Amino acid sequence: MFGTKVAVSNLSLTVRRGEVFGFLGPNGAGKSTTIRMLCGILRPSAGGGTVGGFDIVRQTEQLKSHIGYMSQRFSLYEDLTVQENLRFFAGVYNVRGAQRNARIAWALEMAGLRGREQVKTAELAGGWRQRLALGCAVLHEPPILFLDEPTSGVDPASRRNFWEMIGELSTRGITVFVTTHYMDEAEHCDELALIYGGKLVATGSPATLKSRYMSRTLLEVSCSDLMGAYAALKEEPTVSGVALFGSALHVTVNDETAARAAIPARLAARGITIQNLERIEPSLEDAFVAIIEGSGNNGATA
Amino acid sequence: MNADSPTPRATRRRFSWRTVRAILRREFIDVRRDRRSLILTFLYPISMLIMYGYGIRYDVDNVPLTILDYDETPESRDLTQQMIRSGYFQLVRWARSQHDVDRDLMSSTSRAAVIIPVDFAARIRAGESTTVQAIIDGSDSNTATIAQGYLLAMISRYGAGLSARTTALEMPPAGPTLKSRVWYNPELKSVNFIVPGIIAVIMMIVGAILTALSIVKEKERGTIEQILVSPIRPLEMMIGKIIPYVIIAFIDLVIVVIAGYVIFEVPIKGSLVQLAIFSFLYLIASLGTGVFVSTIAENMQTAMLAAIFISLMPSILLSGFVFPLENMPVGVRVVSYLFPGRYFVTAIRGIYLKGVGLSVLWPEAVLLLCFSTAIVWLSASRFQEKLG
Repeated sequence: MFGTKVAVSNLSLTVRRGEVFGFLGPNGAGKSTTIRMLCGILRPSAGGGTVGGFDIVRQTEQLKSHIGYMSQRFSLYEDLTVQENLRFFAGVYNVRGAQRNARIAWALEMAGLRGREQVKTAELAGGWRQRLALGCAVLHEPPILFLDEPTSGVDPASRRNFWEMIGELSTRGITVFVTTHYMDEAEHCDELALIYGGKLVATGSPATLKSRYMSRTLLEVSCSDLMGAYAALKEEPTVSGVALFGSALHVTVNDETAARAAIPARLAARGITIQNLERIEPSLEDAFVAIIEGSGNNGATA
Repeated sequence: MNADSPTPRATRRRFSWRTVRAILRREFIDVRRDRRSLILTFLYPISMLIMYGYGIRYDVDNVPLTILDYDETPESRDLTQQMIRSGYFQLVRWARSQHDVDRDLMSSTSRAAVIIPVDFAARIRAGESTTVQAIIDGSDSNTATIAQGYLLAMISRYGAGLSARTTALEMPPAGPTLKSRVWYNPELKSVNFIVPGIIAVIMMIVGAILTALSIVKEKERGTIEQILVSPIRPLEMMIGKIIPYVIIAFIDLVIVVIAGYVIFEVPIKGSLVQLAIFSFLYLIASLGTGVFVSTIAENMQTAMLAAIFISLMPSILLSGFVFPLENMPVGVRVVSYLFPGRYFVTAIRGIYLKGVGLSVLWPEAVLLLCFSTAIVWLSASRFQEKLG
């Protein structure tokens, strides 16, 4: 197996070649720190790892020419034009001659920036900037690409477009390691790892995670007083978990029939009227809520 | 650790001029696009030159003068006319009384007053010695000393003129007489002294401040992030950042030398090659300082302050550019040896005014070289640590 095996603090990950690996967790969970260590910018205090076969402590220089990196903070030169930015990074990564022109043309095409080569980067809208940044990051055809929250602050249409680009790179055999906290984005990944409080709490494909952690039934409850209902259902014995999801509650139950009877009764006792009660397919978000609640309990006892 | 990955094929990258060129080209685009720094780079030296060139003068002329002539004879008028016509003094008023003199000096309307006694002409005609009183406002000690010198010179010249014309006066005194000659800057024009000093200040600004700002700007804007994950080596980054400012500093040097010659008629007695050699040595020191500043400052304001503190101020105050180092207390003089400014100012004045070169100025060259090597080594290792 040609892969990317990494160990981060007390957790270890193996990323297979060509897959889109999603690294999920709330802000401050250590996602960026992990990526920075994997890119050879940050020296791990203990432990180590290899990325693409290069040691992340001792071979940072070789490592850096074999990876592409794009951070959540836009880090291209804003006072340079699109073309100048691409040329700069071609120079930095030693992409030269005919290959340079071909790669720049390819990046412009992929980012949809053809015809806007002379536009100053500062004048580009968020989505275009991110695509240009991605173009610059893969100009030297790195086998591994690190994306640190690449779509933060970008509109939904641009986000979708961006993920199409990621999918395309993946089909070309590029390994993509991406962090995000958007659950819909996580669905696009082949493999996921969830970190919480600096610890790895779950790994697996989106489908695996959903089925493994959500073996129980999930009910969606819409009602008049959400907070009141939330408190009431916490005390209901047939309910094993309650979570707020937008304008509804997601309720985890073991016995659907019993719960369908008990829930309206308990809420009615509180004077809360139910608008809708139905069984839904668990989303990744449901799975993660279940995982994190589980890990939180473990954390408390450990 | 991973055992099942293949041995990396890539070998350690060598230093790449292509990478340096990419950084350099970007830096030039940046300088060209950033109007503010462009103005700072080319307009600042000229405005400095003009400001300091006209502003700092040790020459004293047009000293406001009040004259109180109690005598009012052709002899006394002759003396006062000589003073007024000399160009060193500007007549404020003919005072009527001692009270006028007091008021003028008190209100700083005048800086000096001359009082001619009522028996001035009579004593001269009688072949006796007479005394003229000069009162000088000593609050500006520099101007006072010079004005006093001018007055003394004029009165003694007047006396000499009298003795040449009137045989009645005694013979010139026997014994040693002092004849002074001023070398190197015979007209004692302070601009000849200032212009070389300005070059030192400008080189420091361009070298240290612009370099530091250019590196810190990358930190502040987050572009350093993309540089850090790229295989750019710290040395490539440093060289790519420094070369543009070497070029700009030399353009500035040429501007100041030409402007000094055209506007202030400051000639260069020494060779331009010597000037270029010393400027280059000094420039390395200032660029090194700039890189050093960039390793301690996180944002552009801090960088600016740090650069002014460790480069600009010493190069103005501790270099002998404005204030003579000989007059400073020992402690300050010792500190001044830590900054390259004093070596360079000594050297460049030697080249400009005395026409000397390395054969005389080699100690300065050696010390500059030592300083440059030390600061570049220190900055490079800190830079490596921060960036590598």
